[in-house]
Order: sequence, then structure tokens, then C-alpha cells
Amino acid sequence: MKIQTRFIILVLLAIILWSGTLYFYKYLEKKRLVAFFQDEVLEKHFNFDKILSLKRAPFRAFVYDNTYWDEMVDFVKTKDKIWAKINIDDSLEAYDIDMVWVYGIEESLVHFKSRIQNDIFQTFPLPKDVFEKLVKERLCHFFLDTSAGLLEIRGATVHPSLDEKRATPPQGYFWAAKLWDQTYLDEIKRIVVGSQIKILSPDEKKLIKEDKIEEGVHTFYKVLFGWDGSPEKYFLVSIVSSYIQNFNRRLKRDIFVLVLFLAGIFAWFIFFMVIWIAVPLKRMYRSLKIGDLAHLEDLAKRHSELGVFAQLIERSEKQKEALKGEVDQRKKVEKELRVSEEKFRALAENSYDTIMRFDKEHRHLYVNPVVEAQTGIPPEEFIGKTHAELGFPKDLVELWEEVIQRVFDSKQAQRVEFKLPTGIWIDWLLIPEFSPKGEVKAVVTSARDITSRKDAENKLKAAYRMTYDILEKAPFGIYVVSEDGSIEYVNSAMVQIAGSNYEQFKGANVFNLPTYKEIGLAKKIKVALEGKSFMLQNIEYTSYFGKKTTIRNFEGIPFETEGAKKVLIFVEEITELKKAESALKESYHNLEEAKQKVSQYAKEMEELVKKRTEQLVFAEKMSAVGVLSAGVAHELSQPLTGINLFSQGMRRKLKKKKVSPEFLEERLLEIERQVVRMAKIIDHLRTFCRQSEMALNLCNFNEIVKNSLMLFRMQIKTANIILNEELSSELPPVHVDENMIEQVIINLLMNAKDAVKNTKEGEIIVTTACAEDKENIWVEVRDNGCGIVKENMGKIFQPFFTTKDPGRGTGLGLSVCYGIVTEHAGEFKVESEPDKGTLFRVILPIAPQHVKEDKE
Amino acid sequence: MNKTLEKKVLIIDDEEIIRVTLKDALEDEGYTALIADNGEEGLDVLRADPSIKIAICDIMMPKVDGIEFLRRVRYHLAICVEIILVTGHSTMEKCLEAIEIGICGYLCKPFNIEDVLNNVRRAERNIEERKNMVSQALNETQKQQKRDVYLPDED
Repeated sequence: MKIQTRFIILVLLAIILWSGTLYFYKYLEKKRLVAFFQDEVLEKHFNFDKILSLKRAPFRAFVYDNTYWDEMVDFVKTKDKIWAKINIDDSLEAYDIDMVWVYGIEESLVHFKSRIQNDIFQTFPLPKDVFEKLVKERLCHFFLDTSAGLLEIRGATVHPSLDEKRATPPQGYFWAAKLWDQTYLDEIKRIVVGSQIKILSPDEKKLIKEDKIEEGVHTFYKVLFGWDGSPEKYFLVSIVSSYIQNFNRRLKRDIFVLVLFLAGIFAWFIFFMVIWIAVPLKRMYRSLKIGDLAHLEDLAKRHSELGVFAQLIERSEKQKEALKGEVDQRKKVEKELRVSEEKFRALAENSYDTIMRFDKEHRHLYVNPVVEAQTGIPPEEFIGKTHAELGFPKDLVELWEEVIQRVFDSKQAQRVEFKLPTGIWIDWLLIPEFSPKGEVKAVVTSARDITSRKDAENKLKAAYRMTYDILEKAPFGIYVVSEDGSIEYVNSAMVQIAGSNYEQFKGANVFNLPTYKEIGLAKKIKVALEGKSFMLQNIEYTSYFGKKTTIRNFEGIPFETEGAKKVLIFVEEITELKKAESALKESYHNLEEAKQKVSQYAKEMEELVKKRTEQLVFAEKMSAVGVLSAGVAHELSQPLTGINLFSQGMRRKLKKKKVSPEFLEERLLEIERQVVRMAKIIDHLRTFCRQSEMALNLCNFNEIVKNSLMLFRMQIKTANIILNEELSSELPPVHVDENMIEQVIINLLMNAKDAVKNTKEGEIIVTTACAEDKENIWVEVRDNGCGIVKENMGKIFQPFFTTKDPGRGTGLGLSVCYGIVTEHAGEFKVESEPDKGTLFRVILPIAPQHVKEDKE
Repeated sequence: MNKTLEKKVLIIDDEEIIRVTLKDALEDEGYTALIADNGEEGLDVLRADPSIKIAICDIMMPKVDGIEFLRRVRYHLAICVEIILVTGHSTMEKCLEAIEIGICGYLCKPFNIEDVLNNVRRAERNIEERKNMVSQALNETQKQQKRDVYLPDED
């Protein structure tokens, strides 16, 4: 949505809200006004009624008061015109009556007087039935519509003065009428200020509107009945409240002005929105789209934000142009540079050596592709990185950095050999590259693969080493005499035969040794130096160093190396061999004896270990029983209390003799149930405590877990720990000692309980399931307790390791568990995180025949 | 009317058998017995019906145990309820703790009906005594106030 549209919607909404609020406020004000004026209008209504009746009172009084009067009775009979003039005709004006008719008893006109000149009133303008009505009612009052106008008529029968109740038969009939002409109506209208009066015929009745005080008019009407009791006319009165009408008029005007005002604001707003925002935005958009700046010329001259925008757009367009030229220039230079660099690069990249260049921070500036063959890292990854950043071994990096730094420091070329992790030997030559100022700018290095040379060197070394080792390890004495009689080489066997040490022997000269001279050896060696070998056998002799030996063979073999004559001498001794033989025999005998002893001892130990293990298992079990007993005691005390209370209750009831056999039976049954419950607990505890040899049975695994939980649940009840079981319903049977496995599970549960001791919402979850491989099942005890510290993870199965307070744990629990599980060919799995919880999983094999069944 | 209100006893025990038997025994003696599974429920019952003045409560219970229940009644609800604690496995520490907070009686399972009834009667006596004490104190203050009214004005 465009931003202008949003603005316009916003303004429209604001206008609607504003006018709505105003209208609502006015509505409230009006409501208040109406409530205020309702009372006033009703009061006016009441006053109007009152005053109207007062106004018409004289008319009524004249007719009703003059008709029980002896003189009137006489007048009917005498028809005395003078009396009539005085008593009737002259009074008409005073009583505001227009016409009077007096009839005799025979319904003949006695007297008529009218203040209105109209012939139709000469006789009474009604049928004779009216007289019958009058006789019946004695007094009557009705309206009559005539061509002259509406007449209000009152009639009365004439009676003597004493007959106020008009009980005697009428002596005559008296009729009087008032014409409701315009003047009379105006008078009525003047009774209440602001009222309107209308006389409506019965046909016009539907014109009477409902009373609408909100519009400031209170309307009501009175029915004017004819002589026969049907409505002759309707008398409509409207009382107007000028306040409310004024208010309504003002409200209409206000709303009109407001709407006009808001429409003006809206138009104004849209006008400026278009001029200030929409048009410049459109221009900017168009100029940016086609890149034509002509649209922006006017706009850029303005000092508004959009003007600044336009200027910026212009400037950026110009910069773009300038940049385009610059980029072209640069491309040209770069091309030249690339050609020269390619020449150099071709040289470097076709070299067999790795060529590198380093800057002062020892970062690679250039590397040729050979490097990949030597290091296994592609050349582009080297650029801009140091050796350390490339992840070479630390010792190599240290060496390299040191050598490179040495070049920078000494300004001298350096050379170093090393072996890469890829097994390649490198001869590394580093040459300083000088800047015009004579400082070392960079280091150029060339690394040559010298692996083959190194290999040859190493092979030679190895061959030499082997020869040396062979000579040293030989059971014969061997030595080499050079031309001047000095000893050039001697092996360790020879040193031993002579009973001297290496240095003494090497320092000797065979020609000067008296012992050699004695047995003619010196001479023999001299001869041998001439090229004649010799051999002496079985000679007893004492060496120069004082050791007596028997030599079986003494052989001299002349040979030549690099032009020098030498004699190689072998000496084979007899004594040591003999000694060694007898010693060997003896030691073999001893060994046999020791072996027998050891195996016997091992057997004993094995038995002892078995016995001790059993004891240990039992001891640990007893320790668990000790901990469990508190819960068991509590659990036993519940049914005991129940039984006690039941029996006491029954006794009391028996005493009071209000006991029914049904009640007794029910209670006794309950007692039996409690006894069974207790027996179950005790029985199970006894089974658990029994010390027995491992006896494998085919067991329902869930049954074992449930039994463990039964003993344990009592423990957990008070510790505010949630215990959840998720036991898999389809577990194949296992071949185990249920008592032992139960001990393992109880031990794990008790550990879990201790672990969650300080946890806010401790939870222990016991799960059994069949392993996915269908060969094992497992039981898992998981808690959200304190967990096991990482350092302790390796120690938890060690005997006597415990993290509990002294005296609380034997430190044997888990090690015993481990022993039991291992004996069942099962295994333990532990996962733990400090402060998150611990998971112990015991995995046991399914009984073999059931594994097969499963697989089929 | 007032008499029956005072005879309400609340039994809190997680063992159904204990609840049933105790309720039976107390109702036999003309008490109205209300029951609750654990301390939390017990507190709710007490809150709902302030006319309960005696509660028999087990110590070893899940969620809110007897001691905790006692503590909450005394310190949080702050209402006058005589509490008799019942336990299947008593330790001296727990007993001392309970006495320190304030209990009316302490029963060890298995107990006899007579023990329970004696304890309940004692609780009733305690309530009666306290009530008398309070009304006496009230009378005194009223007398004092009356006298205060007739003191002549100083100014």
C-alpha cells in the first residue's frame, strides 16, 4: 500500500473517530436535557387540564344550579319573558354561554336565547331521542358538530328547589350550548405558553402522533363525545419544549458545520499530500528508474528533505559516471599487471619445489601448486594465513615461525630440514627479499622434497644398527684387531668373557698383553694380520683382567677394509654355558612348583570370594531391610489399627446390643482382608530377607518390579516424591533369581529416593521394556535428583564408595548390584547429569527358548 | 443447635480403613465426623467450615503431612482447632516438633477407641475452658468500658 493511501486512511479514521465522539457527547447531553424537561412538560400537562376545567366551571354551574329552582319551574309554566330576560338572557355573557333552550314538559320550546345570529339554532338541533336520554340521566353533557362549528352542550331537567337530587319527575328541560369558535380556542391556547390546539374529526384520528419528548413536543388528546356516546371530535393539545427544540436545531447545525470543517481539512490534507509527497516521490521514482535527471531539476532546488534526496540522487548519478571512467582505466592497468605476473607465476608454478612468500606477520603471500602434493592443502587456502591458522602441528609451526623470524632478524638466508605430517621430508631454504630501503620486506622460501634421500639415509642407518645389534647380541666374543694391535671393535659378550669393562678392553693392545704372549696368541694374531687365519680350541686361561675361563674356540680371520689389514677374532666360551644350563634346569623346577602352589591358592581364593560375595550380598540386603523397616512398620500399623478399632467397635456395639449379623459379617470380612494384607507384606519381607544360593527360575519380570515397588512404596509415601511406573505389558519371561533382582531394583530405588531428597518436585520413574534386539529386556530407574558428579562416574560401582553421609550408606549397594547383574549375564547402563537426574538401566537377557519364539 | 456444631470432628488419614473405623467409632459416640484424604484436603475442609474445632490427623501422609498440616493450621490459617496427631511409626523428634507447635494429643498406632475418645473429650474440655476464659475476659472489658463512659469529662 502506498504511504499516501495509508496516511489518508489514517486521517479518515481520525475524522470518523472525532465526529463519532462529538456525536456521542451531544447524544448524552440531549438525553440529560430530555430527562430534565420531561418533568416540566408533564407539569404543564397537568396545569393545562386543571385550568381548562376551571375555565369551563361557570358553564357547568349555570346549567346545573339553575335547574332545581322553583322560579324556573314556574317559568316553564308561565313563560314569563321578563323573568327570562333578567334571570337567563342577561346572565349568558357573564357565564360565557352562547345559547339557551328551555322546553316544557311536553317537549315544546318555552324559551330560546342565542348570542349568535344563526337560524339553524332556532330550535334545538337534535332529535327528540335526546329528551329520553335526558329524562333517564337528568343531567347530560356532549358535543355536537354543526355547520356553524362545534357545540358543547349541557342539558338538565327542571325540578323544584327542594329537590336537589332531581328525584321528582322533571318539570321541564333546560339546554345550554357553547360554540367552540376560533376565539374560544385561542383563549384555551393561551392557558399554557407554547401549546398548540387542534380539533380533529374521528377520520383524522390517525394523524395523532405518538408523544415524542426527545423532539421537544408533548402531545395528548381528549375525546369529545357526541350525545349518543360515540366520539364526535378529538381535541388535540401539543405542549412544546423550546429548549429541546432549540437544542435539536443547534445539534443539526453543529454537525453540519463539523462535517463541512472536516471535509475541508481532508481536502486540504490530500492536496498537500499530493503536492509535497506524492508528486516528488513519483518524480524521484521515475528518474531513478530511467536514470534521467531532468525530472529532478525543480525538486533539487527545494530545501525540503525530498529536495535533499533529489540532490543526493543527482550527486550519486554523477559519481556513478565518474566511477565508470575510473573502472575502465583500472581494468587496463590490471591487465598489464596480470601479464607480467603470469610470466613469473608460470616459472614458480612449474617448479618442483614449493615456493612460498611470507610477509612480516608470517602470512603466506604466495604459494605455488606443488604445496598441495606436500601438505594436502590446496594453494588458495594458504593466502593471507599463517601456519598456525592453517592448523599445522604445534611443534612444526613453532619451528617454521622461528626460522622465518630468524631471516627477518638476521637478514641472512636460512636452511632447515623437517618432516611434514604427511610423512614427506622437506629441505627448506629461506631467502630474504629486500625493500629499496634495505629492510627485509618479505621472505621467499623454497621447499624441496627430500624424502627419498632421507629414506636412503634411514635405511643405511637401520642396516648399520642391525649389524651392530647382531654383533652385540651374538653369544660369541668378537673383536677386531687393527695392524698396530689396538682393539678397533669389541662386543659385549667378549667384554664379559674377559671379565673387564668396555673401556679397559678397548684401551688394551693385544701385542703387549702378557697373557696373550704367554699362550702365543700375540704371535698368532700378528701372523693373521699377514693374511693367515688361525684357530685354537679348548684352552684354559686366565685373562689379563684376572678372570679364569675355558675357551672352546679361539678363531682369527684376517680381512681388509679400505686398504687396512685387520683381524676378526671369535671367542667361544664354555663355562658360562654350563652354568647357565644347570641354572635353567633348577629354575624350571622351581617354576613348576610355584605354578602348582599358585593354582591351589587361586582355587582357595575363588571359594573365599564366592563365600564373601554371598555374605556381602546378604549384608547389603539386610541394610536395605533396615531402611525399609520403618516404612514396613508404618504399613503394618495401618491394618493393625483398623483391626483394633473394628473389634473394639464391635465389642461396644455388642454391649449396647445394637448389632446386626450383616454388620458383624461385614466387619469380620474387613478384618480378614486386613490380616491378608499384613500377611502379604510380612511374607514378602521374609522372602526378601532369605539368604539363599542363586537359584535361577523362569520369572515374570514385571512381577519382580511390582514386588520391589511394594516394599519401597511405603518408604516413598511420606517423602513427598512422585513415583511413576511405566511397565511394558508384553514382556517375555526371564531366567533369573527373582530375589536377587528384586534386591537390585530396591537398591536403585533407594538411591533414587536419596538423590531426590533435596529436589523440589522429586520424581522417580520406573520403566520396563523389551530391548529392540528382542534378546534383552530392561528395567530403568530414573530420577530428577542431584545426579552424579563427573569425577565420581567411574567410581560408583567400586565397593565402599559412597557419597552419602557417614553411617548412612555402606558403599556396597551398587557394587553388589553390579555383581548380581553380571552374574545374570546382564549389564548396567548409567547416565547422569549433575542437578538434572540419574538413569540406571539394568539389561537382562530373555530366557533363551523365548528368544527363539520371538524371532520365529 | 450450638451443641451439635461443637461436636464436629475432622479425620485426616490417607488410609481408608483408619478413616472408616474412626468415623464409625466417633459417630457412634454422637459426633459428626468429616473425613479428608490428606493434609491439603483437610485444610480445605477447615477453611470451608469454621465450626470444626477438633481434628485427628495422621503424620505420615503424601503431599502435606501431619506436621506440615499442623504448622499451616497454626501459622497460616490462624484458627483455633484442637489437633490430635496419630502416627504409625513415631520418632521422638517428630513428637517434640509437634508439641512445640502445639497439639492436644498424640496417638500411636495401633490405638484403642477409648484413647481416641479420651483425647477428643480432652479437646472439648480445652475448647470449653478457652471459651469461658474469653467470655470472662469480654465481660471484664465490657464492665471496664461501662465504667469509662460514666467518667466525668476533664475539660
